[in-house]
Formats: sequence, C-alpha cells, structure tokens
Amino acid sequence: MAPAPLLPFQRRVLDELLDEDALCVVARGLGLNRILAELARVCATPRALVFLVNCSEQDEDDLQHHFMQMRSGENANEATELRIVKNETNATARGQLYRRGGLISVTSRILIVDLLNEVVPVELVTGVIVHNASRITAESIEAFVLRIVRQTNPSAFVKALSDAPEAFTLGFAPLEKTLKVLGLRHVHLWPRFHVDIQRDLSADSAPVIELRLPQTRSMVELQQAVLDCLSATIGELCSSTKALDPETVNVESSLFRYFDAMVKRQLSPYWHRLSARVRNMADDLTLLRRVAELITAYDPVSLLEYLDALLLSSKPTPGGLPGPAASWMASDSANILYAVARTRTFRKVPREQLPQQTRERLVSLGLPDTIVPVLEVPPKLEILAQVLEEIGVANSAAAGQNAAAGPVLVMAGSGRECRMIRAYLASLHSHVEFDVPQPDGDGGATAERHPRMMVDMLRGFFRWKAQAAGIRAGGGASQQTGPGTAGHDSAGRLRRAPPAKRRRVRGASSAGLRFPRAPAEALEQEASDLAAEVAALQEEPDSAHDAGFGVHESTGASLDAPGGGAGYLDDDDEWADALCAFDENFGLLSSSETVVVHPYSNSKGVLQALLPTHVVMYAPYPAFIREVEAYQARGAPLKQVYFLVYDNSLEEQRYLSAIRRERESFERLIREKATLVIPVNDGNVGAQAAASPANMLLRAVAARSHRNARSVPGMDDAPQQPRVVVDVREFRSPLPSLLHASGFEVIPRTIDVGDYVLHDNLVVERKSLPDLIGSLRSGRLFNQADAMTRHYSYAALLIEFEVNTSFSLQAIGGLSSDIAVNSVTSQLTMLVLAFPRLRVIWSSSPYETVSIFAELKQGALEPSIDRAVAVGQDDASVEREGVYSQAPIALLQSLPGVTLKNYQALARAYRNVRELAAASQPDLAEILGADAAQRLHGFFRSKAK
Amino acid sequence: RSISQLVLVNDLQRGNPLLACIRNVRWSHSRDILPDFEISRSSCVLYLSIRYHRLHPEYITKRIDGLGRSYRMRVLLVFVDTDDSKIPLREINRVALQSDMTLLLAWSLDEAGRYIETLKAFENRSPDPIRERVDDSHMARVSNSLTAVRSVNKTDVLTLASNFGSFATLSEAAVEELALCPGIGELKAQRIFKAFNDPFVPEP
Repeated sequence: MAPAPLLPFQRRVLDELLDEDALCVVARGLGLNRILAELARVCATPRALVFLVNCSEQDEDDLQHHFMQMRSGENANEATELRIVKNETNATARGQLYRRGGLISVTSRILIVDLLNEVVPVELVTGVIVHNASRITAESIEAFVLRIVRQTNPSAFVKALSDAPEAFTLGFAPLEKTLKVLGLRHVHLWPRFHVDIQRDLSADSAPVIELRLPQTRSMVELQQAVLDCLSATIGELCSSTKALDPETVNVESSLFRYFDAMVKRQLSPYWHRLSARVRNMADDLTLLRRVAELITAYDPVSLLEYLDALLLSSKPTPGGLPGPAASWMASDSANILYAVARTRTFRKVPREQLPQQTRERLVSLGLPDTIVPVLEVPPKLEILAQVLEEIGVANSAAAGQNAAAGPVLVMAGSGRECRMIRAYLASLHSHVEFDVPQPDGDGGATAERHPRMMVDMLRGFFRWKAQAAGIRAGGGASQQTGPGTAGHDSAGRLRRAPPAKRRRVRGASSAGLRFPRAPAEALEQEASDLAAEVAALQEEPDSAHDAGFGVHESTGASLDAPGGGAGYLDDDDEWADALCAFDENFGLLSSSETVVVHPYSNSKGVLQALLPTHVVMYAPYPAFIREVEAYQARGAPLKQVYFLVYDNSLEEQRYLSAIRRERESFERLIREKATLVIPVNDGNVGAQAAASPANMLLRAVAARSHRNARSVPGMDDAPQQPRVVVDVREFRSPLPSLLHASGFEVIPRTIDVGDYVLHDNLVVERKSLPDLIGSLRSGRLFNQADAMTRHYSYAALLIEFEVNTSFSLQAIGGLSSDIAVNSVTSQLTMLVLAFPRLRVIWSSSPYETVSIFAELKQGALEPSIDRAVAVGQDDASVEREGVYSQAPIALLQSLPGVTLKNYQALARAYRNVRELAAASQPDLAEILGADAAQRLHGFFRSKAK
Repeated sequence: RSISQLVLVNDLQRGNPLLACIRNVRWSHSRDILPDFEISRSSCVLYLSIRYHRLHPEYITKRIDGLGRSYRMRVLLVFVDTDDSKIPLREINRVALQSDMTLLLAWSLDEAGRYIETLKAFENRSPDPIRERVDDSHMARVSNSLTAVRSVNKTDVLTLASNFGSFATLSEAAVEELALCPGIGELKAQRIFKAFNDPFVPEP
C-alpha cells in the first residue's frame, strides 16, 4: 500500500527546505524520515545525481522500504530508487553507479576517497543531502565532502536534516558552528509547539488511559541501590578531578544518555592525565545508568544474569579478561543490589525443609532442589494481560454492533522486551506449581504458582551459571580459595565503613529478616555452586540454545490458547510441528483478535501498516506519542490508547526530563537563530580556493622558510601543489581533511606500511594518544615500526595530540619514583631503543601536523603513488582497495594463528568466519601450516574454560 | 665500577638542574665525549630546552653537525619549557628528522631525567613488553578476538562465551540468539552476527 500522504505541516517543512538550502531541525517523532524520503524523491529526478550522506543502516532500510511502497501503490511508474554504496562495492562498480546518477546513499569515507580519486563526476552532482546533521563537526568527513563538492561545483545544493535538537545546544554556539561547517545560511526549526504543528496534531485525539503502576518493593529497593551507587561514584569522581562541573554532573543528569558524552567532553582536555581509576569510574557511570534502565526493562532473571556477568567479568583472572574491580561493586549499595536482585528471583533453603514432592518437581524442571523460586513477575506484564483482555471484551461487544475492530498494537522498548512480552502472553495460562514451606517455618506448606515462562528462564539461568562458573574456575583457579573467603573479607572491611554513609533500613519485610545480607560475591558463588549441582545432575550435554525465553517466538504472536503451554521449542522439527498446529488451531485470524508487539526502535510506519484501533505503550516514549498523534491526524480509526508507566520510577523521570530537555533545546535554538552570525562564503569562496590551489597557509610557511634562507634555491619558481599519499583507513581522522584544506594534494590509496607517504623515502605512522598507548601495549606499533623501518629510509612515528587536550605526555598517570615498565614513557623508550632508525614527530594537534608536514615537504620530491602502494605487499596481483569487508576481516585477523601474512589466503579460501570455524584441521593446515592450523582449530573447538 | 654502568655527562652540562633528576642510574662527568649524555658506546643524547633554542636557533644544528657518525642511536631530548612551543617545535621536528635524531619531548625536568634513566636502564633489555604477546589462556584469546568486533566489552565476552561454549558454536548463532544474552542489545547482536557471517570478500 502506498505510504500515507504528508500532513500539512510536513508539507510545509518540505516546501521550505526545497525553497532554499538550509539546515532543518524537526522534533523527534514528527516524521523526519518521511520528509527525507519525500525530499529525496523530489530532488532525485532522472538526470540528477544526489548523494545522501551520514545515514545509518536503519535510515537506509526505512528509505528503501518507503520507495518500495511508493512503487507498489497506484503510482507504479514511480521510479525513485535508493542505491546504497558501502565499502563492499568496488571502485569500478562505484564509478559506473555514480555515472548512472540517481539517489545514492554512500558512506562518507568512501565518498571522500572517490571524490579525491576523481571517481565521482563532481560536475554532475546535483546536490548533497546530509542526514543526522547534529553529528557533523569541522573535523568530520562530511565537512570535507561538502568542501570538495562546493569547490568544483558551486551550484550543487546542500540540504541538512536533524531530529536531535539537544545536540545543537552543547558547547559554545554549536548551531552557528554547524551551519558554518555545512556552508549553510538558513536554519528551519520545527518544535512540537510550532503553531502549524499544534494545529495539525491537536485536532482530535482518542482517549488516553494512563496506567501508573507502583513498582514492587524490590524494584524500589533496586532503584535506590543503583542510585546510591551512582551518587557515590559521581561524588568520588568529582572529588578526584577538578575537571567536572558539579552543576551539570549529578545524579539527576546521570540517568540520561547524553550524560556520558557530557562527562567525556568535560574530561577530555585532561583525559590522559586522569588515573586509570578515574577513567574506570567514568565508564562505571555508563554501566550503572544501564543497570538503572534494566530494572524496569528486564525481567528479574535476566537482570540477575546480567549483574552476575558484570561481577564475573570484573574479577581479574590471570592472563585473561583483565580489569580492576569497579569501586562501586565493593560498596554496600552494590551488595544490596545483588541481594535484592537475587531475592526476587529465587531463594535458597535447606534441602530438608522442602517437601519431597517439591524437590522432585524442581529436579524434573532442571532446577536445583534446594531453592524456592520467587520469580517476581513485572507488574506491567500482569497489567498488560488485563488490558488486552479488556480490549478483547470491548471488541466482542463492538462486534455485536457491527463496528469494525482493528488489531491491537503493543509498543515496547527493545526487541528483547518484545520477546519477553510475547513469551509471557503466549504462556499466559501455563503455570508451574510448587509446594513450599511457610516462611515462618511452622511446618505448613502453601502452593505457589509461577508462569512457566519465568521458570524456564530460571532454568536457563542455572545452565548459564554452570558454564560461566567453568570459565572462572578455569581462568582464575588460583584466586578461588573456597566459597566466599575473599568475599567475606572484603565485605567485613566494608561493613566497617563510616556509619555516616546512608544505609537504608529495609522494612521488617519477612524476606529481609530471613536472609542476612550477604555480600554480592558470596551470593554469586552460592548460585554457581547450585548451578554446578544441577549440571552434575543433568548429564546430557547441551548447547545453551534455550537460555532465556524461547528464541523461536514468532514476530507477530497472537494470544495463545488457554492451557496450550507449548513449552519450549528446542529444535527446528519441533518448531515446524508447532507451526502446523498453529495453523490448524487458528487459521486466519480476524484482525480484531490480533495483538502485535513491536519495538520502538523500529517503529516507523508500523501504525500505517497495521492500522490498529488500540495502542498500548508498554513503556513511555515521547517520539512515539507524536507518531500516534500524526496517525490520528490522518483520520485513523484509533479508539483507545493505553500508556503504561511505573509511578515514581526512573523510567518516568527519564520520560519527563526528555520532554523538558527537548523543549528547552528548541527554545535555546530559537534564541540563537535570532542572533546568528551568518557565514558569508555562500559557495563562492570555495570556487576561488579551487582556482588557486596553493593556499594561504602554505604560502605563509614557505615565505617564512625563505626568510630563514634554508629552502632549496629555485623552489619558488613553480608553486606546485605538494602531494601526500594517505592510507584510506586514515580518512576517519581529521588530518586528511585539514591537509586538503591547506592546499595539499591528498591521494587516497590502500597502503600497507604507514599511514602517510610524504615522499619516496619518508613514511609517517600517525598515532593519537589513546592509539599510541593501546598499540604500544598490544604490540601492534612494534610490528608497524618494524615494517616501516624495513621499507623506508625515513620512517616516522607521529604522536598527535587532540585539539582540546593538553599537549603533554608526562601526566599520563604521573611519574613514579622508579622506572615503571608499564608507563608510556618507558614503553616509548623501549620502542625507540628497539628501532634506532625510527624518527618521532610530535604534534600538538591535527592543525599543527599540517604545518609540520608542510615543513617536512620543503624541497622534497613528490612521492610516487605506485611505489607507496606497492611497499610491503607480497601479493600485488590482488585488487586491494575496497576488496574486503572491514568487520569480518578485523575478526579474522584477531584469531590465534592468523597473521598479516596469511589472512589474505584465508579470506580467499573461506567465505566468512563461520565457514572458517567449521573447517577441518587438515584443510586449515594446507593454508596455515600444521602448527598454526592446530592452534586455530583448537581455538574454535575448545569450550570456554 | 666499569664505565659501561655509567651514563657519561658532558662537562658542558655541569650545573644543569636536569642532573638532579637522574636518580635511578649512576652518572659521572666526562670531558671527552661529544654529545651531552653518552648512554653507551653506541647511543647518545643531546639535550635542548625550547627557551634556549628560541634565543640561539643555530645552536642545535651546530651540535648535531659536531656529533659525528659514531653513535648508532642518537636521541634529541627536548625540554618543553615554554607555553607557546608550536613554531619552534615545527623546526625541531624537521631538524631531528633530517639529521637522523630521534626526538623525545619532556614537559618537566623530572620527565627528561626519566628518559635518560630509562634509556640507560633498558639499554640491554629485550622489547618483549611492547611485542605482540601470544597469550596462553583460552579466555584471553577469546576475549582478544571478540573485542575486535566494535563495542563488544569484556562483560559481553564472558556472557557470550558462557552462553555458547565454544567459538565455533558462537559462530553459528543467529542474531536472535545473540540478542537474548543479557547485556547484548539488538545493535550489538547485529554487529557480532555480521562479523561472523558477512563474507570476507563481498559478493556482487
């Protein structure tokens, strides 16, 4: 079916954008992607060549989908087609594609390489559409792309779109900066409170039922514990570095995604001076925020599993998975967190207290026979079931009056949450019952019922636990001295922590009394032991395919028949049978009985595709509310909207703040727009720069050097454009863009040795500070230095600092009183000693590097491109540029036994890592030799232990 | 005590406060060496402060020219003691590169002293700590490989390894299975899946 027509305000957004080149900022949920699709369609006339840059894969999918719908509707002769260019497309094919024209979405890094290599017919470019414009900075590749396009083709249009107003309010005059970078003079702002939008969206709205549920006691406790951890970590962070502004860095703001970026930005000028502990704390904040989100988003079992995984992976194990334990993990609040996460899942009881029957039942279910499942069901799930039932009743009543009823749409946060909801709804009437002794121990037993889904998840948890314990025991055998000794020690110390620290007293809940608070580690150990018992009981070897809820849940699951309880579908045959059964039982459902569970992350168009009469928002999500509004504004048959939110929860707080932040951002943008200093270079300056390639800066440098009387005589006769051959992988860094901006001829090629070839004898490997530290430790730099010094008479390591960081290596961790092997200073010295011929170039910023390069290029002959490419290549016959897919090759190269010498042969012999993993050892030996083949084969097969 | 245990210091450097910062190795003055510091027979150090260089820009080239060719390893140790060091550093970078000097920058005398100490102390040490290590533990290798996939962290490594067992099993996992692991979001699951299943050489 054809996509819905644009709403009047969307039409206006589009018209204004078509009128002039501008940056257009639209509030989330108002259909930016719809506008983008329309814009692209209008611009991409048959003769045009329009580039779409900075699109995510999701955006591309949406657009593809949209155009497909366009073609399938009445306008079947609609010809707009989106072509997508990624690094998989090779250079020749790309060239043909560009010449054919049309609408092309291309990765910026590839586009810039193609522009520089003149694969793109720049003179034919009609225009560039920049999506997600909030992410563009002066250093980003998109800025580079726009500059080149403008230089050679000033008439090309540039239009930029964004639906992230918040991003334009960070830092100093960010809107102005972005406009400058994009070379745009106009900005269009479309907040939700814009008059046109108000008029279009608020016309008539279906009743909304807001269901505010209290969180369970344990959820409240978890929330409090995480908040305590957060505030402790923030307090510690602020006291250990002066770099943070306590006004903005506080617990309240830490609950939002932008917080990470903000902390990193505030710390970045001092980042290299911070101790590892402080840096870890910054990462911990991200982690804790995630845990805070998961309290409402995950079911209790998954949350416990995630927490346990965090604990396990933070333990230092000899030789692997390093990392100091985060300080919050040793805190009292963390212990509460772990204890509560555990008590809402299961509790351990002495074996003799459980009736024989219960124990047998537990064992038959694959659970340890010394636990009582608690398995708290998230309140929202229960309410959701009620709501759906209510809708069902209402629908059947409506059916009596011959009113049409459409499907019910349930929207939830993530695909994972959706699967949880489906699994719960599918097994709604399937329970497992246990007899458990009364908590007060008077001998009586009560029957407790748990949804089968939850019980299955608990079994999955214990299976996982057994595996994970194996890893730990194998990896860190030395540190396990018996259950809980270490744990108790550290906890004992912590118990004596200052009494001033606020400790919440848990109410006289029976659960609290029955279980003395055990430190997280002891709990974790106990669970591992339990899991080990289960694993010992169950001999059958299993791959952990059914950890958690069913993998095979269909995407559009309907309410299951009562008592169906299909249980778990472990293999495909069973699944196929179940599918048949499904068809027999249900056949075609009338739409009024259909319930569709869909994630917000991919919500675009779902309303239009389903035409639901009832919408249930399982979690609050501002953007989707607007989509519902737009859906209604188009006259949709919406009868009822349900809105589920936990009262007084972090979820609610996040929702309210998100709305507030967006409104404030727009208000700020409106003010900034009023006082905007408009850039004058409306494309014309670019054209001038193209006319005189030797740019101001270079001339200045050259002139100064002449005064110093050090230049080669006759140099000023021919102002030739200096040339640098740059490795295509380097285009992620700002340096190539800056080099080009100051008049260098930048030649992108895939080169094996070094990053920048300045002349035939001089190669430079650029390392930013984090790169330097990382590659010194990993040994990569050693190999690179080795290769460079072997192939070039002048090989240089360029240590480049970032623009906003302090120019000093010293303060990384400070100077110790003795020589420390692990300090950067020592490792750099080691490198220098190992390669006496390796030169070191120091630069305070990429801008400075440009000047240094200009200085180094004086009087030198230009590099030969062919030579730069050929250096270090064993196999010159392969067409190399863009041949490999990046991610799979990175994974391949990281495997044991795979080296820079043999990975190409492997990549030719096997399709992907999956096939490589299935290869036999003799086959591998033919390529790698017996030794490496054995290592690689063994690596694939051995169980994680 | 044999000479080879000492760092020899040129008499020109007498009174340089830098000397007070060389504490972890022994040194002594010497009249008959050309460089400022002689670490060993084959390696030497010239010392320069940026402030001095600004006053006497010709000094360092003279010293380098006078150094001769007898040292295999020649370090130019520069003390960055001014705030605005950009322009002098451009030139120093070029001079060092063109005259076969390895440039090291220090932002304090302590740091400069530390470089001299380290050069001496590590003189005969193998560069193993900065070499690629072949780690023996299986988990370390798994960790090394999986973290090659963008955004995968060590918690994810543990979750993946414990949920799937061997690397081969993991390579056969479907996106949905990956996304089921607590902590692995949709996007991350997609990335992992693609790293395992996308062909090395893209098919047209």
